[in-house]
Amino acid sequence: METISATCPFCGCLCDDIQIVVENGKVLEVKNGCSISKTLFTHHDPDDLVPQIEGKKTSLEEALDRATSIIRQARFPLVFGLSMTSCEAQRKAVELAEFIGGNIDSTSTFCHGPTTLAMQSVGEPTCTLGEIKNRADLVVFWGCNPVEAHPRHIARYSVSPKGLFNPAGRRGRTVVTVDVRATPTARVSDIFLQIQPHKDYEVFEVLRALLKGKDLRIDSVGGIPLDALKDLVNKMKSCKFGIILFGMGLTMTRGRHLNIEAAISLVRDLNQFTKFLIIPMRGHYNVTGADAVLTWQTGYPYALNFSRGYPQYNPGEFTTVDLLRRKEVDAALILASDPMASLPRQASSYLEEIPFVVLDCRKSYSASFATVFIPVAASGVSISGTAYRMDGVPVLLKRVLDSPHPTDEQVLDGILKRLRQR
Amino acid sequence: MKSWKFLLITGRSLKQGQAAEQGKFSPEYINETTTVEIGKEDAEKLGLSDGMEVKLKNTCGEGIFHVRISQGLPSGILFIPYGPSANLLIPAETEGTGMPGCKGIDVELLKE
Repeated sequence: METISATCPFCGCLCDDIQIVVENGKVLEVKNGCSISKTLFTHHDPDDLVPQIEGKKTSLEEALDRATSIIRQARFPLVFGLSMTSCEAQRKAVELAEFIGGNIDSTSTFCHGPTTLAMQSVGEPTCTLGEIKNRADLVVFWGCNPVEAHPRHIARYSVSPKGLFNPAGRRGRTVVTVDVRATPTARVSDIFLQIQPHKDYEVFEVLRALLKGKDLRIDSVGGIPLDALKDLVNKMKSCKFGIILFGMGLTMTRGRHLNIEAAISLVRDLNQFTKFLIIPMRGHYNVTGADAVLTWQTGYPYALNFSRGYPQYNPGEFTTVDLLRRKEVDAALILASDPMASLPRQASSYLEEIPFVVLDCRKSYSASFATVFIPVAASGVSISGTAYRMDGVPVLLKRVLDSPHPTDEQVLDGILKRLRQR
Repeated sequence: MKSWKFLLITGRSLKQGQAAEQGKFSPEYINETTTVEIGKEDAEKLGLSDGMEVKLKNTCGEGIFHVRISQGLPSGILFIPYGPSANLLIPAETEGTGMPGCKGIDVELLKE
């Protein structure tokens, strides 16, 4: 029996204080992890997976040959996913997409893609989670629910920990939640502002107007009384270090990137009074890494097309949901994602009409429909590597358990070598 | 069959995250992702109780969900955890952003 240090490969918190007790290749106990992290490590069962072609078991070599053949014959192939694997594998995926002149897109496309669009427009006043822990005395959760989606965020970084400049911990912080639902996060907050659906943009703009001292002749906006918003503005102006942490409640509603632009503009305005910052709550553990790798490799973060031999970036045109909805691609290589479970059915159903290859470390809906399924070792469980935390800090993924399967990077390299042998 | 109009919000739930790690074909995952939450006030008005089956329908598709009464939902709003069933009801139009509108979707709730 041994205890191994691990980094949890689930959400964008990338908790790197996990201790795993292992005996004979089996996980006996997961210390420090949240309930999802414990389930992730204890339910890991790579032995259950075998390569498949059209649902029939096959060898790895034959699966690689068929995957290569599908990609070689495609006129407009899509490489998609990337967010649940290491940066090393992501880099290899970019190399493959460039070589085949295909399209490459990550799951950013349907989580914080609009956040990227907004940041390209108005900037990114950001900080690390460590700065939040050590300095923040006002924390605003807007359209996010970390108690359920990032279970240790509140305890490790944003609400309860004692910090260098906040020795009182939870008592030294005011916590505000703005959401349509009274979520579990709202219940642990000091102030809950219940907003009507699709009204975030209006509320941000009213907060900006109040901050500038405008006299508004309204009683409420978005279902929130004006007095409550005046109180929030006063708290924002008078805090020493404020942070807005936001989620899909802003990116997936009406306005999308315009909501984030308004939020960032509010933060920019607040910096005339105090220190105020904003961070997106990233979901998949290395979706931030996917943005980073694609950007340093190509200059663009997602929605990329190499068909002209150089990278073109165009959300709305080269984004996966649009490509599938318009039935434009004729083959797909999916890694570290499960689009048939996570994309609108109107888009994902098109995958059933084209050949596609899935690389995954577990059984997924996409894997069960794939023309070729290649099981891979799970990053952060069976292989080490690099991942980016939601605040852009790179964290080392560690190897905990053995796997009989190759890594994403090795499979992609195997396909690339076969393609080059032509 | 009676019907009522609602706005649907999809999102993460702790059980959905945990169940996905147990396996996407596990009873826990299927159960959680076919659950629709409804506010207490709306449930009483419609005569719904925990576990009852309802049909949700819109221009994208339809699905059968079982009811879970939630304290946190305002009147007129439904919530379904992310998953293949919720995706039956989400429009794939992205308005040029790449992002489908997964929150605030018009749906009809139908009950026998």
